[in-house]
Amino acid sequence: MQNIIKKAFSKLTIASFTLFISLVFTSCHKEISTTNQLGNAYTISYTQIFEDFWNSMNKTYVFWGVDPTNWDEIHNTYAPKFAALDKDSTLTSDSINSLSNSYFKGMVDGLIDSHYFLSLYYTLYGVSPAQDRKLKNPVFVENLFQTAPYTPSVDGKFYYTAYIDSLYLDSNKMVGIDTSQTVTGNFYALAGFIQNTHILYFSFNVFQLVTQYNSGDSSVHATLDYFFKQLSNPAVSGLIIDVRGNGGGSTQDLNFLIGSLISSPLHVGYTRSKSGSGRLDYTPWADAIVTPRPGFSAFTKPIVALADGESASMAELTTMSLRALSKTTFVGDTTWGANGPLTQNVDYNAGTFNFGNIGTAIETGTTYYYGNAYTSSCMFKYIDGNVYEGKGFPPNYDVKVSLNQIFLPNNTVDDPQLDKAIRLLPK
Amino acid sequence: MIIKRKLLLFTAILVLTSLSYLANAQFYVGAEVGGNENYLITNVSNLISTEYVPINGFNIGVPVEYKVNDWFSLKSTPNFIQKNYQLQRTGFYQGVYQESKNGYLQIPVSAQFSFGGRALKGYLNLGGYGAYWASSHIKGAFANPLNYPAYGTSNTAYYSVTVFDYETPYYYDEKYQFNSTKDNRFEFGVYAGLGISYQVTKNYKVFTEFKYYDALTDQQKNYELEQVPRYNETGSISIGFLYQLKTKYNKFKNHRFKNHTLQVNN
Repeated sequence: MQNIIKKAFSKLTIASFTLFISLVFTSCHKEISTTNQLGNAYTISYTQIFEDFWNSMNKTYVFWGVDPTNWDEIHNTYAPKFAALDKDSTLTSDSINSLSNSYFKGMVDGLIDSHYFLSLYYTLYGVSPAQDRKLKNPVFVENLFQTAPYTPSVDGKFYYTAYIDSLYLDSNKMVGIDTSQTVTGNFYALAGFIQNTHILYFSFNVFQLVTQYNSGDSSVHATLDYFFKQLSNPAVSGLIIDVRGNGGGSTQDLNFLIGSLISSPLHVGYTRSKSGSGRLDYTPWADAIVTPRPGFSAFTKPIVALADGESASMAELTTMSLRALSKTTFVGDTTWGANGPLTQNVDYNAGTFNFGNIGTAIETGTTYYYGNAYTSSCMFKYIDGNVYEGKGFPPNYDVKVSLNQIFLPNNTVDDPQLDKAIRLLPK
Repeated sequence: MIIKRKLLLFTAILVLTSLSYLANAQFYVGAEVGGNENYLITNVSNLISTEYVPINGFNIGVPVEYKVNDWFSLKSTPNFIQKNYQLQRTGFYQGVYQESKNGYLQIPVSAQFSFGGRALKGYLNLGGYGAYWASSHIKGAFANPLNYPAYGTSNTAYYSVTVFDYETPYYYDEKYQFNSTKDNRFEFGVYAGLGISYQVTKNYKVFTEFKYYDALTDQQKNYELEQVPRYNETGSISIGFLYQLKTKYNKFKNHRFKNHTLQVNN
């Protein structure tokens, strides 16, 4: 009997052995496929264009960790809609373009990245979710502080900063203007003392300070030199840095401007980007540091940062950096909410990308795309631990202004925000 | 009725077999250490100048062997095993990397088939394992987008070769913070091992074994559409020893043998 049992057991063992062999050597992973590299997917249908855009966003958008948009739900909602554009033969090309524009707008409407701009080259359509949100806010005044004060604006709106020049500053003020910029518009910088005070005022319209200082108009160079020289003037009682209406620019200006106010490295926050193609693959947070400028010492007098709802990107980082200094007060309005640094996608495998490769011209080799998504490459977290992307950085003193409040009869102005800044500083 | 009778017979055979084998079984316990190389099986071809490469780790375990007969054992080696890998960029972005050192508490269970002589034996293990991703440490570098050299100085070399000739690197070496939405900390897979053992004394044997662990579960939870899975695939070489414990069954067997001998002598 025992022999029979042993034989049976042996057979059972051999069967198990065979089963294990089969399991081990025939087991295999799921086939691991992935999307093409950005812009490489040749697309000939709306379904393909949609998938290319959705996948590129899924992979390279840096705010998924904090953005409330349910991107999977977006896929489920819009995939059938784009598929219908391919199938519905009753639609005209105009109605297809109109529908696809509205679908793309619907997909990105809730994104918190306030740099985000979706350009649909094929249909000549653009979407800025942050701009759309701002315009829905009745308190927000668009273009209140025009960024090119010395040239006429095509929309006929006001050149407010020019009034500051004539009505708030004393006669020793310096004005630097460079009209050679064709892409970003004219550059101006304004530095001087508030009338009858020792308060130093500095304003400029775009963060091109380093570029302008090194290769811009001589009037700009002289204005910047004047401003930096005054920082060591013992008579200065306080400083106002006005970045209202300033849409940002080069991050190298942080060390150039804020670096001239500090004597030791200033930790202002953290940045992180993507570390893989997964939606939540992130690098750790890297310290965001402003480095002092050689030859400058710490500015110890009180500072007021003036910023508003149109202060974006570097204008916000500058305001935040100033607020990281103990003697700074922020006056104005909550900023735009676009804090994430931008660079080319390849640097971090994140950020701006083309999508919907619709063909390459044989003669020129130029590849044409259905569209482009302009978006941050990194996420910024302020030193207080908050991510202000999509929310904006709030002021210490929230002073709202409107056109009627500012522009008074007889070509005069009253600027409640600047007035508040002046009141906060010793004269 | 017939089914009941068959069931009864089957149960009786099973119990008798178990008792028979238990009475003859030997129980070993020991220790082992080893080194390994882990591959993260995934696809990053959609990322520019980016690749995963394997890096070495170690494993330490407590093998437990239940020897049923000369050629068949059941074996388990609860162990701590590192499953490390590195994500790195190439070309101009050389120097950007993230090394991940992942510690798993792992329990493999296998059937061991032995062959060879009385002292020197070869064996094959086939089985499966379950593991818990207990810890992770990351170390690496990437270009810091907001940490430029002081104005007037520059990172830029005359002839810039890599990204760090332009940008300030951010170096990190820190504990990885698990993400409960993304990280799947339970892993299951299959396991195969090929080894040799040598019976040094009656109670001790030493062994060396090559083991191959192949995860069948994704390292990530299913948290996004179009997800690209990631699987660990680990090869290790271990050395160790096993000590034969005197179980009550062995004692019982010895006792019976003694009694039987005495009876013969009588």
